[in-house]
Amino acid sequence: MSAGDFSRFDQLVSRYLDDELSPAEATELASLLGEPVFAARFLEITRLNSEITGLLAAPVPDAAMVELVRADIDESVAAVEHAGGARLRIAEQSEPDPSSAASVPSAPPLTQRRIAVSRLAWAAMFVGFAGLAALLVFNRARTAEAPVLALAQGEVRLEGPSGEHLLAPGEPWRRDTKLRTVGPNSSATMRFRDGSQLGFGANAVAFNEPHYGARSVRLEHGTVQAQVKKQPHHRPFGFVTPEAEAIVLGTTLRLTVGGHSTRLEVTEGTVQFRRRHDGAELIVKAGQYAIVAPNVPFAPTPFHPDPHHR
Amino acid sequence: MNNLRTVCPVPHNNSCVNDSDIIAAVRAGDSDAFGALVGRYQRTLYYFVVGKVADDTEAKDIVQKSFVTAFQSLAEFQLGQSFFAWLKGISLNHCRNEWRRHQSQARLAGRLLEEKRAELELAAFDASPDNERRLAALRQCLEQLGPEEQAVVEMRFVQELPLASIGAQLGREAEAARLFLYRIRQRLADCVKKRLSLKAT
Repeated sequence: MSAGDFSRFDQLVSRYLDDELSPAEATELASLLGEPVFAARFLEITRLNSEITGLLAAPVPDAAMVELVRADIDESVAAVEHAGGARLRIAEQSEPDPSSAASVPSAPPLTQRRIAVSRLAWAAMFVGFAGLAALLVFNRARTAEAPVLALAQGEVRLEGPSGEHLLAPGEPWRRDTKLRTVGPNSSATMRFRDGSQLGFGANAVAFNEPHYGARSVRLEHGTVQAQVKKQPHHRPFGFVTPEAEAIVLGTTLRLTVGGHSTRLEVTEGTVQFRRRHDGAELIVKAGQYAIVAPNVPFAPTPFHPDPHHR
Repeated sequence: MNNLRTVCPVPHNNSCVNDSDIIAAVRAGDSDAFGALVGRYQRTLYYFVVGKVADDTEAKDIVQKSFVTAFQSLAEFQLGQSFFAWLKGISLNHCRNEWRRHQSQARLAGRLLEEKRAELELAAFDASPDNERRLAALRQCLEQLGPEEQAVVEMRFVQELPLASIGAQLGREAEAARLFLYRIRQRLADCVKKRLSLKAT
């Protein structure tokens, strides 16, 4: 093999790791893997890539893993119990006594038919209940994605298809509904299941509009201070304002909307910030802000994090 | 010989409880006690599994599945043996099954390269050493990277930024950022190899 082959191989693996390989290149790389030296190198570098990802990934909190395992166990136990089994059978089960089995008289045909009808009735009931349970689980899963009101100050109102009402702590902010903090001293902290948190300031108007499984909040007016936990790469957290869009994978930021302008301040991490009217994009890093407004340059600018210096 | 671990304090319980006591409690019907074993071993098991499957999400899933399998098979566990060693065996089976599933799905979808990767992983699976030393070496190698290289690793692997964004921050084209990232990977691979061979001698 020539140096050129190695160079081409590295180029293809590099593109593979970054998910940029075309189908033709994938076929080319697969054929190169027939060479043991390339196969070993490929295995080494792909494993290393997984190890780096794994080492740097945020660990699952112990309590969260305990809950996940518990939920799976409960589900499997319920399935076993439904099937007539039992959970964690440790005690030795006595073998069925052949003599006693032989002594049970066989049921006459009519009784057998009755048993069959009764079984069918039970099966129908089971299917009905299973459908109902699936519906309940589905609805629960849908509402589980909604953030809940963790802290409120002053008046926090929710407007949806069924009208408007005061939002109480612990209540979910359902999709496609409008949240309003009313009055100069009002505020609301909404918390997601993963611990991500949105703090709305006074007189804020926002909509919860998840998009293809990704969380998205449309801020019409006011300020939101967000602490976003690491989100999956294909489902970033989005903030939309009349002027701009901010795409977040995990960070702390503050977004202020009002007077035809949107200001983004990033305290931790990095945010992809997009001006809506022309699609211009920039990356705003920790310690920087950017503004979308008429006659204001669209550029990341360092800010002093101490509010007294603003 | 008692190879069972005793940890103080066990979550939600201030007394010292060893694995066999917890297992006995679970077998007696206190399934909630199993949570103490999950809390005790989940991170160690995660670092055992990392690198044996394609990504960290899969590794986390394998950890979760392994505990569920352990719970369901607890009747087969022999008191006196190491619970963690048993758990590792369960997780290895799950990793192997994951690659088999990956292989058959790739075959069905006609994704030749993915099929080949799964085939290579499965063939090398039993030869894979315990990766505790590898991960320790990798951690040290990551710490040795220069500030710009560390920033790129952070952007790609933690923030999962697209190459174009990484390039924009570096003042380079996306393609140049990709090559830079690949060179970092190669450096890390060489560094890990060197550290492991140094330790072996």
